[in-house]
Amino acid sequence: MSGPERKAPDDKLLEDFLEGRSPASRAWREAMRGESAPPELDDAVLGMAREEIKTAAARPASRDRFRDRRWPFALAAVLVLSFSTLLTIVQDPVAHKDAMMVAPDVVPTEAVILPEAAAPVAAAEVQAEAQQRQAFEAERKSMQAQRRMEDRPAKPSSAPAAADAAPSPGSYADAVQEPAASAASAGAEAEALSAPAPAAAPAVPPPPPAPVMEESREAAPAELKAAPAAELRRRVLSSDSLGAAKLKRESAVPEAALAELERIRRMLVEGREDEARRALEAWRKDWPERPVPADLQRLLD
Amino acid sequence: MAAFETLYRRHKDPLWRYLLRGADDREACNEMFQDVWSGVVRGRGSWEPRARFTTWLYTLAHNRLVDYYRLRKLATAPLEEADDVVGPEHESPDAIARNAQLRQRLLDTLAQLPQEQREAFLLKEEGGLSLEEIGQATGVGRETVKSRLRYALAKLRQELSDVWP
Repeated sequence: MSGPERKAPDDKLLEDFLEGRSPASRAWREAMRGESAPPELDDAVLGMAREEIKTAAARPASRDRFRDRRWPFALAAVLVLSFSTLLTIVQDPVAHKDAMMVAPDVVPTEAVILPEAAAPVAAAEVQAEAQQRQAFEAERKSMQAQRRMEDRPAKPSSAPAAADAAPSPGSYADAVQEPAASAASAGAEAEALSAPAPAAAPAVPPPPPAPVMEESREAAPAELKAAPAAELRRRVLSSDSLGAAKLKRESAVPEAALAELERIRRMLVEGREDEARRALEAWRKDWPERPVPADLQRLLD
Repeated sequence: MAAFETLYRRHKDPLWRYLLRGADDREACNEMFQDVWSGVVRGRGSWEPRARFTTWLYTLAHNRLVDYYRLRKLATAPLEEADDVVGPEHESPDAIARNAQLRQRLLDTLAQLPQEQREAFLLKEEGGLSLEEIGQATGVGRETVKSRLRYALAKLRQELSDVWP
C-alpha cells in the first residue's frame, strides 16, 4: 500500500493530528458538527436491545449455569480419570509394567535349525553341548586367575592372540594373521591387515572340518555329515536368544581356555592340522578336567 | 437497559459517521449500524471490562465494514493509484457557503483515500482511539497505523492546501 520509497510525510503533522491540533481535525469536527444518526435508527436499536434483554431474561440460563460450574466439572473429571488410571495400573500387571517402564521378560526364541541340519542331529546332542558348557562354567572362577598368570609368560606367540580374541573382527584378523606374519615379511603383514574382512574375520566360530574358508555352500551338507553337532551348535547359537545365552556362558568359562580352543580351530581352518593337534594336546595338559569339545575330538583320535 | 442506553447515546453518532464514511452508502450504513449494536447486545457477555468499550465497539464496526467490502468486492486501492485526486471544481466566492464547500472537499478527499487510511483517520477522529487501539481494532501494528495516518494526512493537506497552510 505505502511503499518505503515514498518520501516520509511530516511527523509533526501526525503529532498535531494525534493531539487534536491539526487543521484537518478542526476542519473535520467543524464539518461533521450536527451530523448524527437518524432517529428511526435509535428507535430500532433501542427496541432491539430491549427485546433481546427481555428474551434473555425469560430464557433458562442453562449455558450460563454450565459456565459457572465448568471448573468444578473439569476438576471432577480430572480426578475421576486419574483415579481410574491408577486403579488400572495397580490391578493390571501389564499396565503396571508399562507405567513403571519395566523391561519385558526376555523370552527365549525358538532355536533356528535349518532343515538340512535338523534331520541328522538329535536334540540330545544340543543338550549335551549345553551341559559341556555348564561344566566349563563351574570351574571358571578358580581357574581364571591361575591360568592367566601361567599362560602369558609360557606362550609368547599365542598368548597375545588369545588374550585379544575378543569378538571384534579387526582383532580376529590380527590374531589370524599373526603366525603368518612372524614368518613372512613386513610387507606381507601389511597386505594381510589390509585384506578384506570376510576372508580373515569370521564373526562366529567357523565349522571345524572345513579345510578352506572360501569353500562353496554346496559343500556344506557333506561337512555337516562329518561334524553335525558342531554345525548345529553354530546355527543354534546364531539365533538371538541363544546367542545371548552363549555370550553369557562363554564369559563364565576361563577366557584363556576358550581363546586357546579358538586358536586351535583357526589352525584347523588354515590347514595346520599337526600344529592344531599339538596345541590341543597342550590344552588337555593345561586343563585336564575339561572335556575336549566334540568338534576337536577327531584330532585326538 | 439504562446502561446500554447511556452507552448508545454516547457512541451512536461517531459510530454512524464512521460507518457512513467507510461505506459511503447511507442505506448500507444504517444496516451495519444496527448490526453492530445488535452485536454489542448479544456479545455483552464476552466483553471484558479490561478492554475499552470504544475499542471493542469499533472492532465490531471494522469487522462489519470488512464484510461489507467483501460483499461489494471493493478493491482497496493502493496509495499510488489514489494519487491523482481530482481537484475541487466547485469553489464558490460566497462566504456563507465556504463551510459547506470545505466540508464537501474534505469528504471528497477522504473518499479518495485508500480504505485503510480512511479507516485509520475515522477511527481517530470519530472514535477517538489511540494508535494502539486503532491497531487493535483493525488487526495491524502500531507502526502500520502511524504510516497509514501519515499518508492520509499528507493527502488531506495536499488537497486542502488553500485552507491548510
